[in-house]
Amino acid sequence: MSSPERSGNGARTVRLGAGMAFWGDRIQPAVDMVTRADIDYLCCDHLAELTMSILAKARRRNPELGYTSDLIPLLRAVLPTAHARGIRVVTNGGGANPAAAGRAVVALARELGLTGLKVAVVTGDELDDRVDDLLASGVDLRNLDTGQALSEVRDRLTHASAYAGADGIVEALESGADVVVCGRVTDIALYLGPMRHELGWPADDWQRLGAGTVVAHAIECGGQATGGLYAADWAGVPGLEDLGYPIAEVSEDGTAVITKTPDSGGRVDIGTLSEQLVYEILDPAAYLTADVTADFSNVRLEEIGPDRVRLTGGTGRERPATLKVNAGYRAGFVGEARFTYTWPDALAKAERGLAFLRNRLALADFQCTAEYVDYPGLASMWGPRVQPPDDPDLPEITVRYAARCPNEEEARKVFTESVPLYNNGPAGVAGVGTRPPLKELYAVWPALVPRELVTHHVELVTV
Amino acid sequence: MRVGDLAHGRSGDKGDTCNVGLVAYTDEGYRVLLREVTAERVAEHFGDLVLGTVTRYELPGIRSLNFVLTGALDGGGTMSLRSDHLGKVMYTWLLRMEIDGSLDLASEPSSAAADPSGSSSSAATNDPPVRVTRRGGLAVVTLARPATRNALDESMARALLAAVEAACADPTARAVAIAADGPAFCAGGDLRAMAAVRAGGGQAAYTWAQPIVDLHRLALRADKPLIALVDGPAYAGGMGLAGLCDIVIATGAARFAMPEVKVGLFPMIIVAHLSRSLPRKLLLDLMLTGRDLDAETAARVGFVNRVVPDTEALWAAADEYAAWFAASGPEAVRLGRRAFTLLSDLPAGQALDAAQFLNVPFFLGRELAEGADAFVSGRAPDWVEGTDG
Repeated sequence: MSSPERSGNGARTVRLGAGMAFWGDRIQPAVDMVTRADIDYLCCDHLAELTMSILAKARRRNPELGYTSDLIPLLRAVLPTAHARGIRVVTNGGGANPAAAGRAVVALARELGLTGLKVAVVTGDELDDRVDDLLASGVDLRNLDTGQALSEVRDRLTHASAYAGADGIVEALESGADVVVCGRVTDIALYLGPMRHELGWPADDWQRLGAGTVVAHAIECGGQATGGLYAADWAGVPGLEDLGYPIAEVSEDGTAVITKTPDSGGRVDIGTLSEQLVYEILDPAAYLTADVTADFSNVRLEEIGPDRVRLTGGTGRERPATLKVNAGYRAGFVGEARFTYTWPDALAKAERGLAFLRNRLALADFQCTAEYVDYPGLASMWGPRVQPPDDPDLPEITVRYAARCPNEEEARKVFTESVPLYNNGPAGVAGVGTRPPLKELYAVWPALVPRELVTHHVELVTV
Repeated sequence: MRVGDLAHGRSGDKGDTCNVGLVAYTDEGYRVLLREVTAERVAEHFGDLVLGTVTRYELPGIRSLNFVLTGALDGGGTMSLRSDHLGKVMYTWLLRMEIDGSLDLASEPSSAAADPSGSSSSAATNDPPVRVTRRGGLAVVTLARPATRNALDESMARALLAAVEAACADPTARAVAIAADGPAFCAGGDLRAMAAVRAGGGQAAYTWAQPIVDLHRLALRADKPLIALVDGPAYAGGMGLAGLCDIVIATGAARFAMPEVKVGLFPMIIVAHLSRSLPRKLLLDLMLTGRDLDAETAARVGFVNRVVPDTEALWAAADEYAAWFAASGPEAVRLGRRAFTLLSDLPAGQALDAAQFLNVPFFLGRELAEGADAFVSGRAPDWVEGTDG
């Protein structure tokens, strides 16, 4: 059933479902999809910029950890049905430790009695242990944005990996894998891999890889393509609580019909898809990925039925010679405090309370590199563009003070020095709260690595 | 009006860069967004929320604009102290921006008619309607009344006619380009002035278009290549300007339409040139519906010679053509252009007879001798300026 279908006119198509869009996303849409939708592949993206730093930290504590914690619960819920229906699963939930994730998936499959299931593990994008060798061999991993040398943060580096493309996934699928567990492959690759495998696209068919990339981009954020966050008509989207996730029926030429799980909430139309197509892109004519330089600039959408939209016009050019490196480094801690003042003269009192906090911090010899004040509910999204209303009749105002601090000790001072507001500051205060957990900051270090230095290895285990 | 009346949107993060996508609800809205929501205005609207730059990209197939804002997220999603550290609601700030939501003058007569102050705003200014500049051998005549979207009123038509005539007479100019200031190329005739013509009776209704007719006639006998550089809407008589030129270069911001039927007129004068540069059925479709044509489609049907990504590329393309014309035999281009106009309108048999005669001055002139000798000896020809024989 997982072989690509031939439609009436003989053209091949492959049907890809977006099962997961980020670590912590709901599992039910994927379950509904493998149960009710006619798909060949379930593609699951679990990683964001920051995720790899957190996962690398977990792996250092325990060599059997370092993959996303939602991977096994997701597969537990979908694998029996997916396996029975011949639906293959591609995931980057292996994170910073795909080998350990693979072992956990095999153990899960045995527990579920899924005899014969083939699990592939794709490794090779992890650069943690190779950073010094790379530097020694002349790959300077210079910061793409600032031009700084990596040596400036080398001792604070928490992880480094390459955003890898679809090559490893294609190899795994060609060897018959039912489940492909990857590390830091791009979200696009999770979809391009099955397209290349099923539709026979060569790795240098830039035009179709570009078209496929546009399709992948349209659906890889899950519910954002099917009515989630829909700005044009948020009140008119039915069934947000049970939002169906998107499915792409991709043709040999790289065009696709986008739809969603049958009998689910949400909607798929030109409006919902247009918003998603312009989400998190830079130059639409040069969308750089590990597999291709895609070109969105002439993309077109056409509604061809209820919740069915045809997507055409994507194309592409040769892929970049380098791969993007996603590295993270420890960059201090955030200290945060918040408190609420009430009528009368809420704003005046809040400003006095804020001055109180700052003066107390100065007395405590507080050190920070940046501070930020906003007023949640009144003026918190637009920085200095929006000021809180200077209205003595304002019923209440909340102040949030946050600062980037070099270490935990400094960050802790922020809450500590806000506590005396309870009985030493102006009248009419509430909501100082209890000590919040300190948030450690990981800064992203964007860099490039020659692609020939990153090679995927595929290991296949049959349960 | 606010951007949010014409568009919805979405925004997100890439490191410290925030992207804001706008999706227009309608084609008309998209055109207004193209005109109003420039990178400069967006940068101004976000102010110190954006420490870096603002770049605009266009996705016409889904009526969308993408704005890339660098240094916009207080160090990026993992570092930011802002409550919206991922830029998820940044687009709503752009939807709040106030804009002028009116459509182009020619396609929106009601707004002009509703203005009782009457006189066209071009009459209220003393600035010359056109400006003539040079780029090497290219004489550039620029329509310089962006406030009226370069409406082709009587003063504009007369100034344009005089400028193109002068450029054709200037022996150092090898080609003439028509360009425009501001977001619109030319909105066509001034509807307020046209409405005033009614009061003058039949004679006034006949003569009002004289300068425009003369301009189109000049294009028939002009002895230099005419190039239109279209970087915005070219409507009605404005589309006619593109139609009378030999070469049309356009950016994605260019749109072509003849909305006359929407106000009870017909694009009469421009039929002569347009029926020779657009397929008949498409031309009738556009003239009878008033709908518009985007640059890509116009290029596909051969009305536009080249579509370029932006204004900078437009001028680069103009320079490229200017260089080609500069390398051509000036006399051959001069006589050839006039001969083409004549031959292309003759029945085929007469055209062949005429061609045989029209060839004669080329063979008797100095240029062939120089051009052939230069070709044989592998050097660049040294053309002699001025008339020959």
